[in-house]
Amino acid sequence: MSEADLQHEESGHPGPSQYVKIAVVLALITLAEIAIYYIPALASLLIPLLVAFSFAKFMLVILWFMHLRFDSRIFTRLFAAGLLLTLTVFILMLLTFFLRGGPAPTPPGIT
Amino acid sequence: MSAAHPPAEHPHTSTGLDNAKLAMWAFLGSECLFFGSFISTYLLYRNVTGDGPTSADLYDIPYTSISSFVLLMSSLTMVLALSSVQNGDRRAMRIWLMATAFLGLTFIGGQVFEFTTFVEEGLTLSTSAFGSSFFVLTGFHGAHVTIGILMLLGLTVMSSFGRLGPDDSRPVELVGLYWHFVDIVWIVIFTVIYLIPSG
Repeated sequence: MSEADLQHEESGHPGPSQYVKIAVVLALITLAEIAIYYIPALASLLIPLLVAFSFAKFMLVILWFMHLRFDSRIFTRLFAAGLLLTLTVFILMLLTFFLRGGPAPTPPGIT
Repeated sequence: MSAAHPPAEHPHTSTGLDNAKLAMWAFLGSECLFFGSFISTYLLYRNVTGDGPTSADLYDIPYTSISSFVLLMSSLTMVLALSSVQNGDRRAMRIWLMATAFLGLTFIGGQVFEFTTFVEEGLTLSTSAFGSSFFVLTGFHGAHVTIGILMLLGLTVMSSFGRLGPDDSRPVELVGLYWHFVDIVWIVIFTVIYLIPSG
């Protein structure tokens, strides 16, 4: 373990070697995403798998690279509030249109 | 007269937290709504292609995968820049900041090439609702990356003037938060826009 790693561990934050390990995991998940895209046998599971992989990458970045895992919970709550509001608006908007039987009406002048 | 600097971890504020960092997190929370609305709009209009090309005609998944990988790895170089400045290694910090800016520029270059190809194949901002929603979403993301690159270059210049060090690492941390956010937005865009097939 490098001196920088030791200093970071003492401060409660991850060190460079841990960041590299997280990046390797992120790269492997990305590789898996692309691989399943091209496997016809997984076509029925494609969307849930892609959403799960994307969620895993999202969480790894915000928890480790953005330090939410180690920082004050106030930051987590602040960000989660925005995220939750986004998901609520997102789901309500999509439900509003799709429950009415299809995509949104196109604005005038747009085909 | 010497002024005592409060420790970076425990600033004298009513929350005990750094106000600039708190503001950055609030800003990032609001940015979720900004990009969330564009992603919702894209999902609603992605099949409204009119006479123009569809996403299946245009998207080049291997190409976009490489761009996504480049942006993902820029998050690593960014966090290594922060780690370096917190350890007092300004030279390493500058190298990692420049590496992050370079990876960001590579991503933007890839996006410019992709946009040019799409326009040549008949998809413009006004071709169809699909074209409008695609270019607005990815274009705004690209603008965010560009702003991030400018901030990274600004940090490098600040550092070369003797600013930024273990006791003054907050600007690197704030720009880092912004940069990682731009990365997580692309994680969502890559999956939802490029990989999930349109019905």
